[in-house]
Amino acid sequence: MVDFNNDVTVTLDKKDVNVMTIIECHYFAIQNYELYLGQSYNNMTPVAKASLMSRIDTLYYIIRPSLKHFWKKEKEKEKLKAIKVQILSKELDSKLKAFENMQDFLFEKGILKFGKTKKVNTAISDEEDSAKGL
Amino acid sequence: MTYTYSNGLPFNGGLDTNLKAQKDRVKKGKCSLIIIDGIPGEGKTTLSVEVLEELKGSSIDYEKQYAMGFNDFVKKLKKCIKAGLHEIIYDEAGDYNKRGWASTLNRNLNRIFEIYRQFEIIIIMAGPSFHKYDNDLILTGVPRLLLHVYGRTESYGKYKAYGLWRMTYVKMKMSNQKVPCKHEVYNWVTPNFYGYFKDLPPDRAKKLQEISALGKSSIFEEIEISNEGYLDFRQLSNTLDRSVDWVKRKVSELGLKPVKVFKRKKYFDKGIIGVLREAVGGMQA
Repeated sequence: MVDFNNDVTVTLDKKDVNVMTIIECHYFAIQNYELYLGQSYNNMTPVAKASLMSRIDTLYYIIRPSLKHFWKKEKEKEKLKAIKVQILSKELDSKLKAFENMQDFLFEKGILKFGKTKKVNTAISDEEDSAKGL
Repeated sequence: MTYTYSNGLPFNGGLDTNLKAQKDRVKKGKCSLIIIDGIPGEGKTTLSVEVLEELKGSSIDYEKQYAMGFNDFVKKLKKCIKAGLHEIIYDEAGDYNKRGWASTLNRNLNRIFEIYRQFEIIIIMAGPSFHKYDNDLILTGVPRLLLHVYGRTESYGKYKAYGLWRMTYVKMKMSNQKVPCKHEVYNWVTPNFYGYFKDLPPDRAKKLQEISALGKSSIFEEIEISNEGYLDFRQLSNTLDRSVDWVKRKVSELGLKPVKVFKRKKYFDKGIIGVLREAVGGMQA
């Protein structure tokens, strides 16, 4: 998706490129997870396991600066440490836990969010009309 | 007996918050028209005065801010603009309806609604049925609040309020030919908010009734004039294909008297056409 040889990508805001990179990486990780599950369910050797683990690692290293930047409270710092431990582990299960935590973070930041959730006070007609574009 | 609710206002149910929102809207240079509808005697005029006073923050000036019918409305709108007043009531707005959508009145009124926002004025329009109002009015997005009044008792009345978005649904459902009672639609579309409003204190209610009755009696006069088929100078000029000046001159020369003078306008019986036609014939000969 993000093509650095493309002029359009180069002229984009770096923040947008970063977001696209994260979405792309997350998407690849999900794709690998799907492949891994398919192989496991078919009683095949799960060769996609290694690529899945590496994808999760990659996602972690892409968003690590943001995690450090936004998670400054004590509890959050502990959470970040836990993710680091989970990522450094060679077990898929712990990496998947880290993946879930990272997904939550991306959701919080609106990167994996979808659907309209803006609440409108319908008791104020003008507010409702504005929300409807009137 | 008290004439206000616990919020210190003659109405409750969030109308004050919504009126503030309308005020803010107008200050931003956007238009705002508040429609008050309901069958006769439900308190349209009372609520419109209460709404105006809440918006204004002081008592209504009946001379400038209370108009009955289109002609009076245009005159008083100009007065309001001159006096720097930001609110006006257009009562008995029944003359503005979709059946006469192509009429000069509707066209003129639509033009007023398109441009009046410049003067930061909120118009409160009270009429018998929202259903009868011109569809174009809704399409322009000028009306922002519809207050439907109903269930009036001796001391209070009820209202349901709809924003523009919900108003379009009310209008759409009312347009359905299979719905015989148009006011029933208000039970089907959920209002944005609803509440009660109290009557004005007796002395004020009496004054309002007098003013309202005076306006209504002038409407009777207008109806009588149109019923009897009386003609004014302009109509005579159109019928005879002569200028208004010519008609005035001839009427004066022939010493013809008007059958009615209403609001300083002279009205003549249909028979005058024959007399004036003879004058035209004489000129041509």
